Amino acid sequence: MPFPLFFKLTLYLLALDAFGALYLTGILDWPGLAGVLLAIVVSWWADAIRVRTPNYRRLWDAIAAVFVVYILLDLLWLAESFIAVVIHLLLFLQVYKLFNARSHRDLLDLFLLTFLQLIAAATLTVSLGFLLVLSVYMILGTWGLILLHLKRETELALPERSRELLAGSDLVAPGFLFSTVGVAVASLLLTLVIFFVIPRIGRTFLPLQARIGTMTTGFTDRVELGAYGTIQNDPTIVMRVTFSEAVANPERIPGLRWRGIAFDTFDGRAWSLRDPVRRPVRRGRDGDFVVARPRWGAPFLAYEVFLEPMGTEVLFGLPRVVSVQGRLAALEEDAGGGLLLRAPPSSRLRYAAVSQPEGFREADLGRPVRAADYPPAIRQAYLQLPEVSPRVRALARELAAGAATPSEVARRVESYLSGTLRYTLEVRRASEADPLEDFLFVRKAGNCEYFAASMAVLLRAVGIPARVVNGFQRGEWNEVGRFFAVRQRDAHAWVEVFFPEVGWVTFDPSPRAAFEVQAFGRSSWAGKYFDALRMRWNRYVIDYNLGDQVVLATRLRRRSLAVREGLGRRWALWSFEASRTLRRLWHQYGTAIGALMALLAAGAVLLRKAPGGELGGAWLTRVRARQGPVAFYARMLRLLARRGRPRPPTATAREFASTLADRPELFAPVAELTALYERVRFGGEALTAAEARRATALLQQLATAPR
Amino acid sequence: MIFRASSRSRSSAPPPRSASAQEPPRTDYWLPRTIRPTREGWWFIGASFAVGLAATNTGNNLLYLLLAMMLACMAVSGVLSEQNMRHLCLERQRPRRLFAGAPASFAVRLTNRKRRLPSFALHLSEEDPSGGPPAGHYVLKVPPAGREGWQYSLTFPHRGRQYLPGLRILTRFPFGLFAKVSRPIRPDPVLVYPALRRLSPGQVPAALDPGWHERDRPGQGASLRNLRPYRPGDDPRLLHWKTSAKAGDLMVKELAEEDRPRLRLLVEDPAPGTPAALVETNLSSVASLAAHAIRRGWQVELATAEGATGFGQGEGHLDRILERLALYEVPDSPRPLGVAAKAGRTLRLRLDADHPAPAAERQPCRSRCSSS
Repeated sequence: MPFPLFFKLTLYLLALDAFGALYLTGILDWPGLAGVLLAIVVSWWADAIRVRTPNYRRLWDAIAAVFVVYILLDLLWLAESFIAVVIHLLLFLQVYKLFNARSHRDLLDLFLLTFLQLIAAATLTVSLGFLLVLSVYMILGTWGLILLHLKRETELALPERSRELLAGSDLVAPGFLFSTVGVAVASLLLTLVIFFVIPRIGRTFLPLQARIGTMTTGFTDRVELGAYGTIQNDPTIVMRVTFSEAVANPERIPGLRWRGIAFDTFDGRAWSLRDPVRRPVRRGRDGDFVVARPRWGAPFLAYEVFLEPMGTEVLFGLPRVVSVQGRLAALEEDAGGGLLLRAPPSSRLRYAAVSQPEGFREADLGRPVRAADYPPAIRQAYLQLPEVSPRVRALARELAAGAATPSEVARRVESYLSGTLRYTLEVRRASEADPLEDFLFVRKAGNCEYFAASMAVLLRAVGIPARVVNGFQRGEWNEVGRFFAVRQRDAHAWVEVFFPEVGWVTFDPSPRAAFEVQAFGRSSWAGKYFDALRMRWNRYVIDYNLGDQVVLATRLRRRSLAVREGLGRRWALWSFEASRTLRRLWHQYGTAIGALMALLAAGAVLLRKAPGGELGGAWLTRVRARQGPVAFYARMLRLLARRGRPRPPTATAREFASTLADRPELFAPVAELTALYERVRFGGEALTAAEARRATALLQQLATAPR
Repeated sequence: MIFRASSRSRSSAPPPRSASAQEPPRTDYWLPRTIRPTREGWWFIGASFAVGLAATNTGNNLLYLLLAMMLACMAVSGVLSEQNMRHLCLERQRPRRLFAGAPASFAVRLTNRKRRLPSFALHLSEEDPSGGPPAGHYVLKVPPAGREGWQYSLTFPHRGRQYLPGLRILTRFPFGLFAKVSRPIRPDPVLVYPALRRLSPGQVPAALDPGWHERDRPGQGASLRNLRPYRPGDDPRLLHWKTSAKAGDLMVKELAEEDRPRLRLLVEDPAPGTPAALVETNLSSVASLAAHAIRRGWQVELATAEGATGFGQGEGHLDRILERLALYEVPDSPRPLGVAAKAGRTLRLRLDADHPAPAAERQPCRSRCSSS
C-alpha cells in the first residue's frame, strides 16, 4: 500500500476509534451519530471536493460561523451538560480539520483532537468497550504518530525528494507494521503497570464519575398486586457480588437472597411501609457503618457488591447485614430493616458488607407461641390486614388447623402455595375477585409477589406476624470470575416470619427455581467469560482505589516473600541433592568427566568468538580463510560448469557474466554474484552477513534455475 | 553509537610532527547522548500534567488510565529513540590537507550495526568553523547492516591547530516528542595550513626560474642523452625498440642526469604591532611560494627563527613546511634568524612587509646554476 494512502487510512481509523469512544458515552443521539459519521466518511474525498467546489474556503468559513452560533445555543439551552457542549465542539473541529487538513500542523491537530475525544469519553463512560477503544487507539496512534513524524521530518528536510523517499523506504512493509504493533502492545502493558502503580489519593476534590443512565428495573420499592401483563425477562445485570477468599464455595451456600426492603402494610392490592421514618446508621471506629450487633456464635459472610444504578436508593445484602463499608456519604435504615442511601446513586456503587446469615435451631422454631409472646410493636405492625375475603381466612384456618407451632403453620402454608399453585410471568386476571382471591382460588398462577403476599396474608390471618420482602434471588454463579451476576429478572419477593425466640426467618413460597431453569436457561460460557471480563474491568480499573493499592502492595510483598522463601528452600534441597549426586558421579566417572570437561574447554577455546568475527573462533576463521573469501564465486562457477557453461580461462569475471546474457534466469544472479566477487576479490572487503545471506540465496536460485 | 574518524592523510603522508602526533591513535568510543523535549514534547508533558491533575481531583480511573498511557508513551519513546541511536557507527574521512579559508571536503559513512532493526529519521550535522550555516544531512532510514554516505565541506577561517566542531546525530524518532542528540566526547584535532594561492607568473620571483638543470652525464633524469647498446643490468624499460630493430642489437636509452636547484625561504618575524591579517597574508604567500617551488622540482628549505626544515622535495616535504607555517606563532619581538649560509638561492621574506615580494639573495650555487 502506498505510504500516503496508508497514512490517511490510519488517520481515519484513529478518528473513527475516537468517535467510537464518544459513542460509548451515549451522549450523542442517533441523528448526531449518523451525521458525524457521514461527515467523516465524506471527508475522505475532501481533496476532490475542494478542487471541484468554488469558494471552498469561504464555504467552510460560513459553516464555521453557523456552528459558532449553534454552540452558543448549545451552551445556553440545548446541551444537557457542559461536557456535551465540549464533545459537540470537538466533533465539529475534527470534521473541519478532516475537510481542511493541509499542513503538518493540521495533521497534528487531528491527532490531538482524537486524544481529547478520548479524554472526554473517559469522563462519561465506564464501559468495557473503552478498553477495546484504548487498545485500538494505542496501536493506531503508535502507527500514526510514527508515520506522521517520518513524513514531517522527510518533507521538511528534503521537500523535493520526500515523496520518492517515503515511497521507496518500504515503511509500510509488514515488518514495520508488526514491529509497531509490538511497540503498541509493550506500551499497553507498560500503561497497565503504571496505571496500577500511580499513587491514588483517598479523597477527591471534584468527584467525577461516569453517569450511567437510570434503568428501568425489575426491582420496585412497592409490591402491587393487580397489575397485569407479561413481566419482561430482562437479562441486564444489576449487581455483581464477590465473596471474600475465606468463603470456599460461595455457589454452594443455600438460600442466598439479596434483601432490599420489607413491607408491613397491605391494603388489599399493594404492600407498603407504614412508617417512613429512617434511622441514620452510625459509623464505627474504622469508618464502617454498623448496622446491627453481631450475634454470638453465628458465622460471618464477607462480600463485595458492585451495584449498577437502578433508580433506587436501596442497598442489597444478605440477611442479616451487620456492617457496610464503602464510599457512601450516609446510610439509613428504615423500619423494615432495609438499608437505604439518601438518594439513588447515578453511577456504579461499590460497597463491602458483612452479614450473619440466619442461624437458628429447629428446636427454637418448634416451641409453641402464644399471642402475648410477640412484642407489641411487632403485633401492631405485622399483623395488620385489610378487608380479607372469607375464603382466604378459611384457607388460612384450614392450613393452620392442628398445627402446634407457628413454624409448622408457616411450613404448611409455604408447601401449600409452592405445591398447589403455579409460577408464571404472565399475570392475567381471571375473575372480578380481589387479586389475592383471584390468585389463590381462580387463576392459581402468579409471580413471586402473589406468592409472597398470599403467604404473608395467610399467616397474619392466623395471628402470625409476617412481612413481604423485596430483593433479588442469588443470581447466576460465574465460575470464570467467581462472582454472582444478579440480573433484572432475578428480582424477587419472599416472606419473613417473626419468631419470638429467633427473630425474623425467611420463607419463600415461590416455586421459581424450576421455572427459571426452564424459562431462562443458563448463560453460555462465552457470555460468562465476557461478563467476568467486565467484572474485572469494573473491579480493577473503574473502581480501583487507594485501598486496592494497599491490598495489592501487601499481597505482592507477601507473595515475593513466599517465593523467596520457597526458592531458598528449594535451592537448599537442590544443592544438597546436586552435591550428593556430583560426589557419587565423581567417584564413578571422575576420569571420564575430567576428559569431557577438557574436551569442552578445548572446544570453547577453539570456537570462542573472534573479535569482529561473525561466528566461531580463530580456528574457524582460519578454516574459512583457507576456503577463501570468494568461495561463493567458485561454487557459482561449479554450478554453471555443471550446466554446460564453464568459464573460459581467457575470460574475466565480467566478460564471463556477459556471455550469459542469453539466459536471463542465469544472468541476473551471476551478474550480482560477479559484482560481489569483484568487491571482495579486488576491493579487499569481506562480505557482510546480509551479503553472505544474499549470495547463498543467489546460489540457490542458480541451482534451481531451469536447465 | 560509535564514532570513528579516519583521514586519508594517514596512508599517504607522514604523521605530523606536532604535539598531537604523540596522542594515541583514535579508537572507537561511545557517544554520550542528551535528550530534550521538542516543542510538541513540552506540550505533551504539559498535557500529561493536566490529565494527571484531572485524574487526581476527580478520582476517575479512566483518566488515570489515559495518564498512564501518556507516561508509557514517553517511556517507549525514550526506549525507541535510544534503540534508534544504538549501534550506529560514524566514520569520517578528512581531506589530506586543510587550508585556511578554503572549503575542505569531508566524507562521512554512517553504518547501522544492528542486525535486525533499522534506524529512522537521523539528522547528521556539523557546525561550520567559519560561522556559516551548519552542514546537514537527513537520512530517512538506514536498514540493518546498511550504510549511508554523505559528503560535505567545511571552511576553517584560520590556520593552526584547531578542532573539528564535531559531528552530531540527532533523532526525534519515534513520535517527535523528544530530540536525542549525540555529542562527541573528544574533539577531533586538525592542522589547518595557511591559505595556498595559485601564483600568477607575475607573482613568481625571478629567482625561481628556471627550475631544472641538466648535467652532461648519464643519470636518471627525463631528457634523452644518448643511445647505446644494451648491457646486462640495464633497465629493460629503457630499451629503444625501433633503434634495436634497425641496428639488429638491443639498444637502450641513456638519460641525462638532472640536478634539482635549491631554494631557501628565510622568514623573518614581523615587527611588533604588525596587523595579524598582514602576517597571515604573508604566511600565505610563503606557503604558496614553497608549494610553487616544490611542485616545480626545487629543493626547498624553510627557515624561521624557530628553526629550519632542511632542504627537501616532494609533497611530504611540502607538508613539513606547511605544518611549520601553520604552527607559526608571532613572537612579542622579532628573533634573529640563526641560519648558516648554504648553497642555493635564498629568498628573504618579511612577515611585516606590505608587499611580500621577496628579496632574493643570490649566493653561489654549488654546481652549475644557470642563474648564478
